[in-house]
Amino acid sequence: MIAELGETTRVKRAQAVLSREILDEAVLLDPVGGLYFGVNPTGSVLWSAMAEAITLAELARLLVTRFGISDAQAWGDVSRFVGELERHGLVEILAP
Amino acid sequence: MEISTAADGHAAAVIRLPLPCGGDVMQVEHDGEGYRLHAPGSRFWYVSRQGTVTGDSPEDLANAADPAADPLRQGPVEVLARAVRGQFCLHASAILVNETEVVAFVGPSGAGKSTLARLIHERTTGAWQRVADDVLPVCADRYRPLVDASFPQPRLQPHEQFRHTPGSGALVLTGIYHLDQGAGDGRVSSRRLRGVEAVAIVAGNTMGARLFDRALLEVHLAFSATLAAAVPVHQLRFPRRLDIAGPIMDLITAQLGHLRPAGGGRKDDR
Repeated sequence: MIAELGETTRVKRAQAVLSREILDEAVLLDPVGGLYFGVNPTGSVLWSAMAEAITLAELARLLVTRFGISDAQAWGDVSRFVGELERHGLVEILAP
Repeated sequence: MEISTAADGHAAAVIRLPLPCGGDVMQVEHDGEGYRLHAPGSRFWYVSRQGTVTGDSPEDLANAADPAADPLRQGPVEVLARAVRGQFCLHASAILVNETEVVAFVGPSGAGKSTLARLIHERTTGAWQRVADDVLPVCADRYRPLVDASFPQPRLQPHEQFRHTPGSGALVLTGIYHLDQGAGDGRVSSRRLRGVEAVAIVAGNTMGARLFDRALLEVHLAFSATLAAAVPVHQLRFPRRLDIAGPIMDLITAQLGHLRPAGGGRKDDR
């Protein structure tokens, strides 16, 4: 089930998922679902930050700082990315 | 392989690739001692954390060292044992393009791996030898990824089995081509894959990964990254034609520039 994502939503990498950075990208492997996932440099920054619990607002600020994009664009990127990760069971949504 | 990229170019591109096949019929349990495998109606096999193989009967123990003793021993069990020892098996056909350099063709079943290797072999009147048909064991080394040509190749006839010339040096994997047959505009074309795309091709075309436990999956991911960094990985598109070997050989030769086929030339060069 897809949780409703808000700025205060806290997320963390799902424990079962394996990952490896490849240059500035990353490959994720979900051993349970048996699928590999590749993420681009932007996604890799977010994935790296999700090694520890972090809010979506903090992730969005990270993109603004790192890539100099607008708040709105950063929020759109973060919510889409986290939503896709959650859909594939790659991320845990934590209680606020 | 499915790739989706957000329109704004910032959100994550996602590549989805199934965990590789191999050993699907086998059941596997693992613990601190190693792996315990069996298939319905078959005997049990054990693979230790050191990669040694044993069976569950005196007969199995006697045959454990001989991969040809049992189809499962020769297949998934051997693939897993080699993986534990750090040698992963690509689901690939492979040809020797000069004395020591090997090119691998990977892709799903039916992609044309075996057919392409056979057509090239025939076109060169055997000068480009087939090293593997289906299983290609590789040790990833940052500088020289080595091919183990000793793996039994039951899909090759006895007279087709590759025999490594003593003293000719180790076989080095110099190119990986992911076959995309029937796609494109009817011409032969290739695209160099980089980063996660290349890693996903290696990882997704390694045999037996469904048997791996978490620790070995981590090692496998590292292997895939190392191999993809050391060996050019290309997506090769070509039409379904029996005369396709020549154009593909031209493309491989051009991309691996320094290659000069061993022995004779092509049939049509004579």
